[in-house]
Amino acid sequence: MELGKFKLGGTQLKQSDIDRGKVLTLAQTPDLEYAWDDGVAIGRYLEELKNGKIIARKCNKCGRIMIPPRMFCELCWRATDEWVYCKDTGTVNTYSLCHVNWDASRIPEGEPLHLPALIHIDGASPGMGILHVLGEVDPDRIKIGMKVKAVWKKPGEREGSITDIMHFKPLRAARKKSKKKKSGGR
Amino acid sequence: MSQKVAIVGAGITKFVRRAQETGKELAWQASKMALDSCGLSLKDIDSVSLGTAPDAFDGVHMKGEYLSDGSGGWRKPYMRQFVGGGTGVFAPIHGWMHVASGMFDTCLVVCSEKMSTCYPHPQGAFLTIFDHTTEQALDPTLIWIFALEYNRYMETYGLTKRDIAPVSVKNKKNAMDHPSAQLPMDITVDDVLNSELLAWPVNRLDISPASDGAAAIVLAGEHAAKRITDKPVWIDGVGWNLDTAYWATRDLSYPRYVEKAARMAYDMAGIKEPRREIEIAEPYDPFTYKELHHMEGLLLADRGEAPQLLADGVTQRDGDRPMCPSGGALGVGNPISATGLMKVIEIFLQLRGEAEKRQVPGNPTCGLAQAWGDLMQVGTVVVMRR
Amino acid sequence: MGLSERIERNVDLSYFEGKIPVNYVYTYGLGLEKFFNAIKEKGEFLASRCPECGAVYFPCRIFCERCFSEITRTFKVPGTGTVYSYTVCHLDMDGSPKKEPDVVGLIEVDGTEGAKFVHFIDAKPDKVTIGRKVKPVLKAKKDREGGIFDIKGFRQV
Repeated sequence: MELGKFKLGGTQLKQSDIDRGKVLTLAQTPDLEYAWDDGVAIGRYLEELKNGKIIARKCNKCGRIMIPPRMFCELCWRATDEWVYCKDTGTVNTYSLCHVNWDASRIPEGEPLHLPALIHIDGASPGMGILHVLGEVDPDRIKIGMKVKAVWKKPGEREGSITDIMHFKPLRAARKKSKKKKSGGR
Repeated sequence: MSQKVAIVGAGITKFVRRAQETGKELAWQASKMALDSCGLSLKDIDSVSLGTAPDAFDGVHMKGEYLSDGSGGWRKPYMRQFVGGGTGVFAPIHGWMHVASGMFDTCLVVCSEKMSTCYPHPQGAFLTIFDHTTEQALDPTLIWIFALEYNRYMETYGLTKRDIAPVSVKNKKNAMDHPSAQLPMDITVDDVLNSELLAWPVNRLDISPASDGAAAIVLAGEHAAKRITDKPVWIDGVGWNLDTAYWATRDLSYPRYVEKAARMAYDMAGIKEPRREIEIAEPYDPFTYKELHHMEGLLLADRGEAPQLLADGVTQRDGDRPMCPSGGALGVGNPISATGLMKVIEIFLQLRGEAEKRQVPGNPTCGLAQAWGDLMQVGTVVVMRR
Repeated sequence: MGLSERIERNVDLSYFEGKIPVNYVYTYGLGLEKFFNAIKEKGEFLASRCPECGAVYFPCRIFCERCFSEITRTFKVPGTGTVYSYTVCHLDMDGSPKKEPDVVGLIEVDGTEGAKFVHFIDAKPDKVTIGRKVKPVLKAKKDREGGIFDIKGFRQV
């Protein structure tokens, strides 16, 4: 069988065909709201973030200190054993300079880019990374392997969320001269 | 295993950004073509395996049930498969199980997707793939994780964007010969590098589009296959594997789960030296770097060496090891599950010598299709021989 | 969770709130495009018959789900039918009571060999009976937009 011998289905429309009502369509917005329970391990993680601390969970069989913390070790398939505090510093494992929002719209010229990064947290086992954003940094000077430190919200403003850390900033060098314009964050 | 399984027929729609047809109408168009292509009718089909991506794309919950009439599932043993982007190769693996087990002699495998329903952009439906408590608050987008993986891949092997961009040039060019193609283009590496920067290092032309489309194949057991066609293409190996759900703790430079899936399929197919025995492949290419990343995971290139094979022309259609001769997700389009099945169909046509202008030289006898998905953690692989 | 259960969120535990920020625009597709255009333009109801196996579909479709044949032709039916089953809904989607209960019917459509259609029945709950003849009530032509509510509902005759 050759594809060229068949009349293929799929009738292409343009957005304007829909906007102008050239074909019948139905618009609908689902009204769904969620309240996701934090659970045991993440509940404590968020509580400690509110205290300005990063906490991990250790499995005494494989010895891994895991972040985000979890009540069971997915490798040893057993309950984890103890809580371990980590430092609020780490290393950039990889990063991106993001020019678009989730809906594919562009971040307007002059507004800060989103600077997502995977950060390996000091005190957790090697390779244990979390997703966060970088800030107070010149985007062109971000490097993989760069040491970074958490920048916390003021104690009274923390609410037990990953965003209690506003962003991670470079420990030294690569810092922005002017602190007026912040990159990263939301 | 009680019987060998062959692909005996195939069907596909055009891949377009926005189709008028409903998902079930697209599914029927592809399925009907698959049956017509091998002279069967729906009553010859014993079971149906449907693959389709998140319900949130189409805005239809229980999409498996919704698509069942267009997929030939009426009063038949019918089952839906879903592993995100890996679904398009997972659905035929399931179909293979249905037939290989001896339970059924034939299985219709259908993949259909209608992403255009979702506004402002199907990415909105992806926001909840991130952990709701520890990641969603950061307002992550799907493109972040690919940009992060792409960057880490380059860093680990000292690569540049110029080493990776030719994947887009090759695949979009290949797609010019595919009648379903949504984004066939004749472009240069500079066009890719100068296209709109979305999230460094990812530019517009590094990414496959959102698409509507469907694909289908007919599977048959050994005896049935020989009755139906004199050109069966045998599924000799299948493999699938899933990595940790904690994506941020994974080694992003190497897809170990793809390697494990590939090894499972190679062992089943008796393949000892994949680089010599796999003559043609369709690795999953939703982003440029993923084709290279997956070639390495599939053991078709050493770690970090795939870009050199690309530069040397090895992966071109007339090269020693053609990759994505169809045009891939980058060129033909990416209606998630239908993309993976499109890749299976391409290898089916290539091994039968029926790929028209896309035909690779040298009468290949053994090929592979692979897809990848979930939170970039699942690998699905099918090895085929004629 | 029963549909009638009070909707409450588990806010005694710590939780994280979120939404999925999408909306949908569904195309009617090739089959329903014909069906709803016929109602909109001419006030007509279209069914289709499979040329191979004879199965009848209402609303009309482009393929037969039983034998997979292509269906290109449609035929008119009067749109009348009989009540095959019905329910009376007193609660809204969020579990709150409705001002007026809705009567939702499953209507066996005349001339379609048993095809059924869901819509509201315009009748007092205690006046609905299974087996009663019903006929469709359409909006005035100028108000019709091509959609399920071009049919206001069905009335018992």
